[in-house]
Amino acid sequence: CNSYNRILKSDDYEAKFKEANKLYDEGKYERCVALYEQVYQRSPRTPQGEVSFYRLGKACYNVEDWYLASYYLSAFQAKFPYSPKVEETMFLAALCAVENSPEASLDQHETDVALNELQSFVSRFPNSERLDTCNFVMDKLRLKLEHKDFMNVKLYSKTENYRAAVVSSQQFLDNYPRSLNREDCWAILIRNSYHLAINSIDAKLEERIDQTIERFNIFLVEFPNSNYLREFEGYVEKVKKINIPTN
Amino acid sequence: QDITPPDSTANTNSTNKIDSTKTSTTIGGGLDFDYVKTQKYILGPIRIEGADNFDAQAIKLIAGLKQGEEITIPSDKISNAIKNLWNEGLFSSISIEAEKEIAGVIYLVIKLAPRPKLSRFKFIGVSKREVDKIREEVDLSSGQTITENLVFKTKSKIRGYFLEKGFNNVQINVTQIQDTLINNSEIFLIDIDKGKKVKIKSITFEGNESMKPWKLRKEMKDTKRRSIMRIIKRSKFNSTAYIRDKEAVLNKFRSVGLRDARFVVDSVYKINNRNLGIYLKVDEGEKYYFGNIVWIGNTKFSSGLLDTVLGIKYGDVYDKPLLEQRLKQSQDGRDISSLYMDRGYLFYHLEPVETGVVDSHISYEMRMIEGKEARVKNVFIRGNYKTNEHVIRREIRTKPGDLFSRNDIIRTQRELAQLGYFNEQGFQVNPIPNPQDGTVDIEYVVEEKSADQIELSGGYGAKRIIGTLGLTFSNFSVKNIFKPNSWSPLPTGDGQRLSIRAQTNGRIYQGYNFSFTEPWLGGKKPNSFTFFLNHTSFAASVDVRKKDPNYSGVGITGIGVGLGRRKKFPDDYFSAYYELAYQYYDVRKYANLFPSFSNGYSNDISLKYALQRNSVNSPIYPTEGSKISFTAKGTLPYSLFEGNKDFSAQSAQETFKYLEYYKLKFTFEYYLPLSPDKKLILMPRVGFGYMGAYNSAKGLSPFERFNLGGSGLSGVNQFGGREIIALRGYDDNALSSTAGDPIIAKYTLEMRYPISLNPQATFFVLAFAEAGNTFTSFKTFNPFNVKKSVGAGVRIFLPMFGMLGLDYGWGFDKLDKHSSGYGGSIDQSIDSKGFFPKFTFTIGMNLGEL
Repeated sequence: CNSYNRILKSDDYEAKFKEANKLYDEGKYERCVALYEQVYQRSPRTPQGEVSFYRLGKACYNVEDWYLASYYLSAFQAKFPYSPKVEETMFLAALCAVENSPEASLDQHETDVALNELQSFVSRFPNSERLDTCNFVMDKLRLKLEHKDFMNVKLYSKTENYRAAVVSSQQFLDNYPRSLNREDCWAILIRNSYHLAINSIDAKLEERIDQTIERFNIFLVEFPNSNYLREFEGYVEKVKKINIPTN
Repeated sequence: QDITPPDSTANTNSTNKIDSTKTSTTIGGGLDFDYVKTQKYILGPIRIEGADNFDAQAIKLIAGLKQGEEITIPSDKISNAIKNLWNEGLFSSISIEAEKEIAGVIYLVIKLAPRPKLSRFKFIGVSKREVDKIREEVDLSSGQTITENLVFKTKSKIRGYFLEKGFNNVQINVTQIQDTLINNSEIFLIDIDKGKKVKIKSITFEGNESMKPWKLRKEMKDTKRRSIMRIIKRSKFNSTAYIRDKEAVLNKFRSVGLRDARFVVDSVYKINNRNLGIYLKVDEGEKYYFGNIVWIGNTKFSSGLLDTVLGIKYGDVYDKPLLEQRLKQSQDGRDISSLYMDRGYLFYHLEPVETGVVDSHISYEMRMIEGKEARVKNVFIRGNYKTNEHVIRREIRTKPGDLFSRNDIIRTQRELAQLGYFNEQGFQVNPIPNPQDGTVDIEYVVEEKSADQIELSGGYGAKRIIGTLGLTFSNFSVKNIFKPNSWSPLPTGDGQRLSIRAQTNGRIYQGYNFSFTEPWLGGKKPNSFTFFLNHTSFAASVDVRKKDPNYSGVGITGIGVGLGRRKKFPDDYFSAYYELAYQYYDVRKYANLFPSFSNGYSNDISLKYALQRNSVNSPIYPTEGSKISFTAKGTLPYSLFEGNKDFSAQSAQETFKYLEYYKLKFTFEYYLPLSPDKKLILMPRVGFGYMGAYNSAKGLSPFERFNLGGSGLSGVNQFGGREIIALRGYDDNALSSTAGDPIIAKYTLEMRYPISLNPQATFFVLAFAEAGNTFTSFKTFNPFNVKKSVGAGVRIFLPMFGMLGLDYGWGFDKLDKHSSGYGGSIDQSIDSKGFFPKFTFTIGMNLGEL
């Protein structure tokens, strides 16, 4: 401990670098950060500086300080554009952004950042062996965004805002043609169409009944064996029985 | 031979000017260059001298010289290199020399002398406080390269700073001194002589026939004459403010139809060193009136309706600002654009076109394109890093598929503010129109603030030290308790409210409160669910323990559930609240609080119904809206089931084993903005309460009665089991009987003005006049027999502590006979001095519930 502090305060940068490397290899990441920081500040353009900066990012990454790690790792490629480590740092920086991405119920700004970073990694290193991981992670993030949208659809349905549920579920179906939630989303659409129709004012009744039936027919084509069929057939039967007032 | 910059000293100028008759010249390393016959070389490595702090690579790049390229010497390649370096403004001397030449490869040296750097700067002649402000203004920092421009810029910024303050005669001198401690750097010694402050002695108008000069001077908001009475705004001359103020004066003329008004003479002159004069000569021009207004393109609304909304007739005095206001945005919402905007016409566009002037009557053609009705497509929420999206989204009134409505957006914004999780000033609502498909996306950007309150206080009450620990979390999440990463510091995000509070001063008084509220029970409808638990106990003496048969004191334990519902009818500002509560009173040989029930226990099972209409626009400093509420609370009429029974033969314990009573309350408060900026607010409030017994033979319940007077704080001195209501300017509970009274009336008038609306610390002052009284029975009830008081106070709202208040009031009326304070210090004071002065300290929003 004492020797660490002595090196930290000394002016011997070779010793600092050596000690930092030792600590880094031993996995004492928190402690090596201060030393690497000093080495980098002293000689930012040297190979030592390059290694220091790279390991600063890695050390922060290893102790899961995602914000700081993302700062160092994404700055690396701008500072040392020709370094062989650029691929790794860009990738890790993107992963930091992924770690920062919060739960679907919160603001997804960080998720968008992560997706952008991964995308630019893929564009820059199209032959990287990390590509599969990238695609996997990107799929996961996109799934999160999709999940968020679907939660909103469900919220409108649950709070019985029929029109909002219809509009947002339709949007969802348009936006995510391959979603696993499609069937459930269709269910929300048809159920809310039905409720919208039966609670409708006379002027719009006919249109809404037709829409409900039409949506059911489309659903039937896409999911001919759905478990929802019985429920929906009931709706369709009911709306067909409604007398449309003629004025 | 040096090659020096073109605009440097004349004696060593660029190579071009050297006498061409001289056929050759010697450069640095003893090389000969012929200026008549140029020669080609290959550039060897370039050395850089005298610029250790700069990146050598960058300097070569700027110079445009690259190793290995072919270069003709002499040629303008070298002089361009020097020019480029010179343009950087970093060096005071630049020269490029040839070191040697080996087999057609030439080795160049770029010799640089960097400009001096600023090491420190000092101010002389101004106070330390001013220095701090100037420092921010001038933006100097150590290490900056010193140039002429830097000196000039510094001077002009300081001058600007003092001109703004009214020091028009300011003198600034910047002396540069060599810093001997640091190489090649200088110290700025900035000598400032502020001179005398210059004020405006006179503002003279001429040619103003239709407007009094004082009215015009009033329009000039920042250009004021000097006067002893000028306390709030200092008299000073600021040229930008002057330009703005002149425009304001012209606008004043324009508002009375003089739209050609202009200044023919505009002069600011020096009277002496300390005084300026302003002279303005106005040419009013012709007076104009509104002519015919024709609407074109309106299909949704008839021209007649639009005329009514516009409210401008043929022959009205021409007033452009009024016209603009009625067309675009009016404070009271009476304008054409909100007419359309609230009905989905987001793409609506109106162009007022002047079609001609006849007899000073200006005719208009209102050309409008109504466009398609826009429907909401997506609703985005941003900025919620803690609060779960559904908590916000369920409150938002603009839902996908709805017609776009500006009114809905404003209402949503207000309701989100009322949740209390967001900074009211930080809201942003961005409608993003998609004209292709006639839809609009609406983006709500929220800024989260800490909505948790912690109350940790110690105080002195009832002759003992009292400590309070209270915690309120208004954005709690039960669901997230088991998700450790959502703890910050407690699980947040679901908008639930959790409050825990404990107050004690040791053995005499103890109070514990727990309550939990889920605002959307089940998540389907905004029905809130509340569960609460509380216990308070009060002992008459420290020494006697509860187990002791001689123990004297009161304990009250309560538990209950409540259900709140928002109503859609009569309008959606209404809400209803139902509560089922059980309270257990344990009174042991203690007569001070409830004289008619001094020993025994009592059960109170009550049902409460409260109907409220609340359109108040902000929870902390309301500026508009009203709150009206009706509350009914009651127990079952047990005595009716028991038939005719002689209650007088029973003991108090038997009579009050199960409490029976009913209670009705009504309150109304209104917030009325008095100033156009909606800061000065008038708030009238009235409240009535009545508690009755089902069976007069059984008598009134000893608990739950009204106590009026003082701060309205419940705590040690004002123990629970009764309803404590404030009346400033009198002592606590002084107006009611010791046991409390069944009838109450109270009227309040408050005038409020905010000092700071910053959400971190909202601060406002108020003046109040109030009156109230309690009555022992319906026979003595007289709504005009009330005790009056006036006073003033301050309120400060700190997010961590809630609302704190301090009032000073004077009571003016003698108390009634039944009052506990009758004949006491209040009455004596009023007898002798005519008033009773009283300081009151309050915590919380309301002073009691009336």
